[in-house]
Amino acid sequence: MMTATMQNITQMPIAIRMAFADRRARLWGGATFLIGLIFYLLVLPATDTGGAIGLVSLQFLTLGETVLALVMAVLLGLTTALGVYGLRQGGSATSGKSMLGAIVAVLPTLLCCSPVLPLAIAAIASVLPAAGSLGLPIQGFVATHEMWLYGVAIALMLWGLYGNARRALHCVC
Amino acid sequence: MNASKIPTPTTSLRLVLLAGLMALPAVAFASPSGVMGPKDAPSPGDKPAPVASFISHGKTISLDTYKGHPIMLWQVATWCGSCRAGLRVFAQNKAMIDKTNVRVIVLRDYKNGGYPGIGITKFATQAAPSLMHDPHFIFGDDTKALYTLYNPHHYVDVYDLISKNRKITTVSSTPSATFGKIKAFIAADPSS
Repeated sequence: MMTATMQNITQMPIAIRMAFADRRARLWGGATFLIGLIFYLLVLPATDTGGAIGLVSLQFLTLGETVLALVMAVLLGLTTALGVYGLRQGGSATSGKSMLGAIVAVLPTLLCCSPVLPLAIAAIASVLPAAGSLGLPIQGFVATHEMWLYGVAIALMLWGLYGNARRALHCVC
Repeated sequence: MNASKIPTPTTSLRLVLLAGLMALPAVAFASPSGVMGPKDAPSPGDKPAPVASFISHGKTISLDTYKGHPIMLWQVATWCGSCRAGLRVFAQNKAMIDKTNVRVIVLRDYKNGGYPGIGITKFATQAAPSLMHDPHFIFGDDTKALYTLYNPHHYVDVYDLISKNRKITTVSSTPSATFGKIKAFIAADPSS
């Protein structure tokens, strides 16, 4: 099984090349990359602005966040291209892991520094008052484990990419 | 029609999930108040600033010590990214603040906002070392009384702008994103 996995990993560039030879897969992949890149470039620095997203967050963009945004946008674009290619070949595509990764990637910004968590906690606390005290410790945990969460997000995206590449290769075989 | 192109319930669920993901920042963006504090809080209507004390370098200091100075009372948690970014913005504007009479009192939230973290001195040294020996900046820790009086909603990154005559003119949050308000407050002081 390990050998098969290693073989699939080494064949991933072939799957990507095949997918990018298909015009529609290339278009979808490119569009997802661009949208993902803009999205992450705006969202990742919002940890510095208390969740304010837009030009104000762009001012706080660091080199590390730019690299993270690029990596995640590339992974999303490749996964989409492979998924579209797989679908067009009549196979199935899975985006669950990549999507989960994409969601995990925005958690540090949205949970630590935007109103999403307090609004959610406030809604829960209106039914269950004891939950009201959970907000700050969760924010604190997310803020201090930001890099770990980005790591998990990238791992999930890589896993999704691997799954779609394997399916794309099997469609041809 | 190719069966693989008909949207399945799973595909629909994924589309809903994707739409939800895209909507999250919009919710964050559109919301009237930030988690870190009340960015667009109504004006406190020049409410008198209550007298309270904080701890700095082991000494209890009353806010009254700064009588005659406009004060920015800023409460932060040392794990909070926007607080660190806010300090860096102050360091960038240090020269402008140094020309004024303003005192910026930066206090670590009582119990650090409910999550452990480094002390205020280490936090300030890491984020903005140039402010450490600037007399316009005072670093310390909240007392429970001050925290209760000035931060009853337990916001993480919140500040009060207090005029020379001891009136709270503004309550807001995240100086990194709202520095314009602080600049306007400083400019409004005739001695600046």
